[in-house]
Parts: sequence; C-alpha cells; structure tokens
Amino acid sequence: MKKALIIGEHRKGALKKASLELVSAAKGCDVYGIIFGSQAKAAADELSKAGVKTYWVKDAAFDAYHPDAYAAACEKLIKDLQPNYVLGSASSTGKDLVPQLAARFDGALAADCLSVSLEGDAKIRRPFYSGKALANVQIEASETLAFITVRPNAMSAGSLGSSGSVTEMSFSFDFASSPIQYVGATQGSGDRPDLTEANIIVSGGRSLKSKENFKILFDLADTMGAAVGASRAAVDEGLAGHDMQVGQTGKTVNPSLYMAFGISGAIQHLAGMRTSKVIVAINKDAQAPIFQKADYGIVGDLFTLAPLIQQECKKILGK
Amino acid sequence: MIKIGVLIKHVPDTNSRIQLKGDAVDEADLKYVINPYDEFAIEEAIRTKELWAKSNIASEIVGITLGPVAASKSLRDAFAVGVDRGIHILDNAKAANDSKSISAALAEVCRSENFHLIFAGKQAVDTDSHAVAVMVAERLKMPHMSIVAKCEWEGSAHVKVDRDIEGGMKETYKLKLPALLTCNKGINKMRLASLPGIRAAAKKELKEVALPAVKSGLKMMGWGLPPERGQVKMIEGEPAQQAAELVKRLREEAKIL
Ligand SMILES: Cc1cc2nc3c(=O)[nH]c(=O)nc-3n(C[C@H](O)[C@H](O)[C@H](O)COP(=O)(O)OP(=O)(O)OC[C@H]3O[C@@H](n4cnc5c(N)ncnc54)[C@H](O)[C@@H]3O)c2cc1C
Ligand SMILES: Nc1ncnc2c1ncn2[C@@H]1O[C@H](COP(=O)(O)O)[C@@H](O)[C@H]1O
Repeated sequence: MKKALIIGEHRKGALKKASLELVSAAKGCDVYGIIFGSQAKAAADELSKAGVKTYWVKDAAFDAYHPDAYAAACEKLIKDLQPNYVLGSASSTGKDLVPQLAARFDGALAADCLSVSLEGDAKIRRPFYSGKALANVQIEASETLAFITVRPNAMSAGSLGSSGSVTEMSFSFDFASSPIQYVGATQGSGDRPDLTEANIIVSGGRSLKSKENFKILFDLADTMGAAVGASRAAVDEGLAGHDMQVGQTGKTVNPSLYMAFGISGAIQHLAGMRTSKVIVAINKDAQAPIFQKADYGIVGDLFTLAPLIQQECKKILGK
Repeated sequence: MIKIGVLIKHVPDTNSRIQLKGDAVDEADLKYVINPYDEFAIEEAIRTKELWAKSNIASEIVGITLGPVAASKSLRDAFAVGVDRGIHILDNAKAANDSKSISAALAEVCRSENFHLIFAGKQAVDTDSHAVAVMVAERLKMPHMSIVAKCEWEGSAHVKVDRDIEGGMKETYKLKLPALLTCNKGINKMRLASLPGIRAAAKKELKEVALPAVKSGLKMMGWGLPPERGQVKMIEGEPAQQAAELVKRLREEAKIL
C-alpha cells in the first residue's frame, strides 16, 4: 500500500475543513499526518478520528508559520516515513511549504488541484489559465515521491473509516540562527470565514459606491454566515480591503454559493469565482455579462434587494 | 555591485479566451504580456534599487525569463521601466513544462549570477501554481518569503516584510539577505514606461542561454474546458417578490440555505 503524508492546518485549535479534504484526496493510501502548534490538540484528535496517524509538533515555537522550521520538521518525517505522496492545502501555508519540500526532495509537484485520486495510479485534475482550461495530469513513473496541493472546498471532507492515532513529535529547530525571524501577526477580520474557505460568499462591486455602503453586504453576510468579497474595482477605489478581492489578481474562491451584487462579470473577476457551485447575479443592467455565468439572476437595484434578501434569509434561518 | 534578480514570465493576457485545438490549448491568437504579479516584482526591484541608491549602495537589476523566442518581449518591456539587463532561457519546445523543471532551470541560471536578492511574482496566471519561485529559493538554499505585501528595508542586508494570509491577516517577518520574495497585489503598482526608458530598452543587454538539462515530474494527459452552466434563471417581479423567490429557490432547488 502506498503511503501519504498530509499536512494538517488549524485555526486557533480548530482543524480546518480543508485538512479533511486532504484525507479524501489521500484515500487508498496508508495516511500519516503532521500538524503544528501548542494549540493543535483538538485538531490532531480530529485528524486521528478521520483515520490519520498524526504527528503533533506541540512545541509553542511552532505556533506561527516559519518556512524553514516547518520544512525541517516535515523533512525529518518524510525521511522517517518514506511516503509516496505529500499533500497540503493550497492555503497561504501549504502553497509556501509544499513547493519548498518538493524542491528539497527534487520531487514532482501538482499544485492547486481540483480533484485528486491516489487509488491505483494517481489521477489529478488541475486548472490552468485561472480555470479557463482544466488538465488531467499524471505523475511520471520515475517520481517516487510526489507533492500535491489541493484547493480548499474543491473536494469533500473525508474519513478513512479506520482508526488513527496522535503521536507527539519532539523536534528542535534552531530558530535563533535562522535568517528568517517571525515578528508577529496583525488581527484579521474577526470570526467571519476566510474567502478561500467560505461556503457562502456575498460579493460587491464598484457600484456599492462607498465603504459605508458595504455594510449592507456585511449585514446580509452575517445573517447567512457568509464571507464578503469584492471586485477589483471596489478594492482599487478603496471601498473594500485588498484581502477581499476575488479574481485574477485576488483570491480564487470556491463556495457553494456566490452572490454577486453590482459586479459586471469581467473575465478577470470570473477567473476567481467560476468554480462556485451556484452563482447568483444581482445587477441593474440586464445586459451585464455576469448573467451569462450565473445560475440565478435578478435585474434590479442592489441597495433595494440586499436588505430584502437579508429579511427573507432571517425568516428561514431564524436569525 | 549588488545584484537583484527578477523572475519574469511571459503569459497570455488575462482577457484571453482559452480554446482548445485538438488536444491542446490553442495558442495562436493569444496576446502575451508580463505576468501581472511579476509586474509587482519588477516595480519592487526598481524601488529597492532607488532606495539603496540614496544611501550610495549601487545595484543592478537582472530580469530572467524562461520561455519561447517571443518571451524576450516581456524582458524588453521590463527594460523600459528600469530593469538593467536580461537573461532569456530559451525553451521553444516547452521541454520545461512543470514547476519542477522550470524551477530547476531558473535556479541554475540564478546560481551563476549569485544574486543578493530575488523578486518574483506570487503566481503565474497561466499555471497558477504559486510554486516556481519558492522552489527556486529552496534550490538556491536561499531563505524566502511568499505573498509579500510590504517591504521595509534596514540597509541592504535586512528586510522586514508583511505577508498576506487568510482572513485579511498579515504576518510580519524579518529576513537576513540573501533572500527571495514573491510579491502579491497591493505591494505597489508598476510605473509606466517613459519615452527615454523605451528608447534605452532597445540597447540593454539581453543574453540568450540554452535550457539546462532538466527533468519534468508531470505528464499532461489531456485538456478540457470547464463545464458550461445551464441557462440562467431570471427571477422577475417586484423586489420583495424577487427576494423571496430567490431565497426559496436557493433553499428548495439549489438546496443551499
Ligand atoms: C491584469 C488584470 C487583473 C485583474 N484582476 C481582477 C481581479 O482579481 N478581480 C476583479 O474583480 N477584477 C479584476 N480586474 C478588473 C476587471 O477587468 C474589471 O475592471 C472589474 O472586475 C470590474 O469591477 P466591477 O464589476 O465592480 O465594476 P464595473 O465593471 O464598473 O461594473 C459595475 C456593475 O454594477 C452594476 N450596477 C451599478 N449600480 C448598480 C446598482 N445600484 N444595483 C445593481 N447593479 C448596479 C452595473 O450595471 C455594472 O454591471 C483585472 C483586470 C486586469 C487587466
Ligand atoms: N518560465 C518562467 N520564467 C520566469 N519566471 C517564472 C517562470 N515560471 C514561473 N516564474 C516565476 O515564478 C512565479 C510563480 O510561478 P508559478 O509557480 O508558475 O505560479 C512567477 O510569478 C514568476 O515570477
């Protein structure tokens, strides 16, 4: 049986759903995992419950991401376990750590994959040209250790149906002599889910006109448990933060529901949200290109419709 | 003189429509440009050079691209805004076709230049891999930071960088050079080329080198286009009815809410 090592991630101790999606991707393999940080106990337990033999690097020095330190710990585990595959999420951590490891072991890398099956020969599907084309890729037979990152939300969360374990892994890294020093992190936008992991996204364009007006979308998002996104025009005009931009030069998102309020549907915006399962477009211009990519459309004024939609959601969601 | 490298990829314009021809992407009508994220890398390199110049630290910016003959256009465009010279790793046959092989070739050329600092884009908009630059750093045994949103220099040996992560948060790190940084949107906006800049570009040194022997790790097994969505369902009526109908459809038909 082939072996896979998955790199788990958590936020404040809660396992990210994307990590369980890696479990799905690794099905058919003997699955090991690694997770970092003093707060990761519950997350390690959850991975274990999903059948993953999890190594927990508990040392608080690993609480914050450190490219060298994380890579060194993974390198040690890879050398010990000799897996065939190493999988991570295409998150800010995974997109940094996994390519680093791939180069360290001079292995093949398939990044930001939409579907991965490792039962038998690896079958991988990944987007090119921001999802305007998809390709099936295969790992060359000569590659005995291959590296894969999986786009969050693209695969469903999985469990292996066997029992895993949690082993504390003691690993020391000389942080003081590393050329990289972690300084700190700023606070984020509270408890709202990140765009890349969100199940529902409410998104607004230039048409919102002011930062204050975005509040109607935040209110709707709070009712729906959604994250709030924006077009580049909205970001460039200062109506929304950079981290909210969806699209070619923003985030690639993959929610179950994407609601575009006053977004025209430029090709660069579509690049970031085209794989959303259901797309709703609300635009006052019946000719707006976004309607060609939407599942449901309403021609109308977003300032009128957003609060009405929020009221309707409140009725059924009881909030 | 300190050498600053910039990794510049020649990619299809983001407005391009991608179509298939036979079992490959039809590249005939695509218009190519500098990868948008590499524009941020170019601008950051120029700003760094200008900043260092104020403290009498001289530096030279070297653009590197790997690609077919036409890719030299992106280097020339980069010359016009301030990149000093270029190296074009010629690969007409697309022998380097994945992150592993591309990073190996770029690293080999970077090694011979002995860069103190390398800037790259966060990702190329054709592969969207977010991998090659990080892999180049690792191959050079150079510390790196990816998705950089801000650089604050302390002389030319230390830099404090902000890195964008999930939830709108930023992580801050201090790096001791040599180092490689990949740039995110928001770090800067590339300046426009000036007329003298464009004139000077034609005279700058652009060296062509052969692709080093590299090995790919992936095989492309076939292309497809994303599935088309069904016809959009337009919801009519008064706004209040539209809102109610939409929420009902999302719940009952799409089974989301
Ligand atoms: C290299 C490059 C990268 C890019 N990257 C991105 C990216 O990452 N993300 C991105 O989004 N764009 C990106 N763009 C920009 C993109 O081309 C568009 O310019 C941008 O998406 C337009 O934003 P918008 O839809 O908010 O504005 P507009 O195109 O101006 O559209 C506004 C829409 O709002 C509608 N409207 C106005 N008022 C109302 C109202 N009261 N109620 C309802 N509807 C209303 C209008 O009918 C119109 O359709 C990129 C462009 C380039 C060249
Ligand atoms: N063929 C190439 N030539 C020059 N630079 C490249 C090339 N491919 C990738 N890069 C650099 O690596 C970054 C990440 O690319 P990718 O991993 O393909 O998303 C790009 O933004 C470029 O800076």
